[in-house]
Amino acid sequence: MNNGGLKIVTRRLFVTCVVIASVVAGILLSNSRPELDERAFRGAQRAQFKDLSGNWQQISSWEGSYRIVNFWATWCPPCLEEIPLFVRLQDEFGDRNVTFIGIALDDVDRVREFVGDNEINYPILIGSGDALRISEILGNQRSGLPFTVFLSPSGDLVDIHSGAVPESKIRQFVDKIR
Amino acid sequence: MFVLNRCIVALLVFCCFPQFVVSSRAETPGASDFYRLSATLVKGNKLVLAYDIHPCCYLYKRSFSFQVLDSDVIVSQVSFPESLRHNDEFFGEVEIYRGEVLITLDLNFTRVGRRSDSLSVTAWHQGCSDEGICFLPDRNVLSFTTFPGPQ
Repeated sequence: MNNGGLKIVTRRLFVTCVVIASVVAGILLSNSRPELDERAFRGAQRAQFKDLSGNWQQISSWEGSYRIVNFWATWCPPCLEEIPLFVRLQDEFGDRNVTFIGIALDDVDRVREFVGDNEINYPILIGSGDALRISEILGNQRSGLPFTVFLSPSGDLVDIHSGAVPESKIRQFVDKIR
Repeated sequence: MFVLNRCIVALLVFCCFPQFVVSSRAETPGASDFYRLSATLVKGNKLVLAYDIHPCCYLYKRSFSFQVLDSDVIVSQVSFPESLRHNDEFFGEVEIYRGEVLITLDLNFTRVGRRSDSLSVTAWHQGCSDEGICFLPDRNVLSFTTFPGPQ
């Protein structure tokens, strides 16, 4: 190969590398979690919500267990779609220190009826007016439902998910528990 | 010169690609900007609401509700355009709207001879994105400082 040919090959190789690096950087940037205010994040876990018995609870009430906190509503079809999965996995992973917590942004009577009809086997809290803001502090950038937060026993953020959570993502979370 | 060219190409590519990837993911907007609403009073007793819904999203027809914040004015009729059918696993076949939607409210005075100087209407709706994210029921308060009534 002559000198000119070598230069062209080098140039093409260089551009290819830059393109690949840029695409990788773009993907990494786009998948990165939003920057969270640590103090507000911890505070949000202490926000008070009533459970279906009328007792005040907070996300941190279940501190010490791996928590999958799901914000949902009965008017939200993708929310309802994933709940049977949560019920099944709560059964399967209950003895692995995993607790699902549902926070419903909805009317208490509709929630109670849905919970009874679907035999939900994990704690359900009723999100007051602040529940959406709490979800936003926890990383709900689109302010939509369903939104799910994965927390370590000490309340550290492990992952978040907007929309219905794939079963594989929950299994991946549980698989990391030793 | 060759090095300069390489640097410019590298800079352009590096700047453009991440933005392209990020913007393609950011196509589904948040709750506050997945639609735009404007309203126009026509002939003093018709209120035309124009929803401009983001291509990623839709609004449920059944979620629309309207309330006039004036005890002397009522919404006597709501005219919806033709809706689209949407199959939902939980709610069955539901009616939705996409794109641009014009909804007309007929306003009536409950007391003869009474005229208001202003009008405020609250419009409620709720929608979801095709990506599977639903937005909380939202409301807009539409205020008109001049409300001549029927003409």
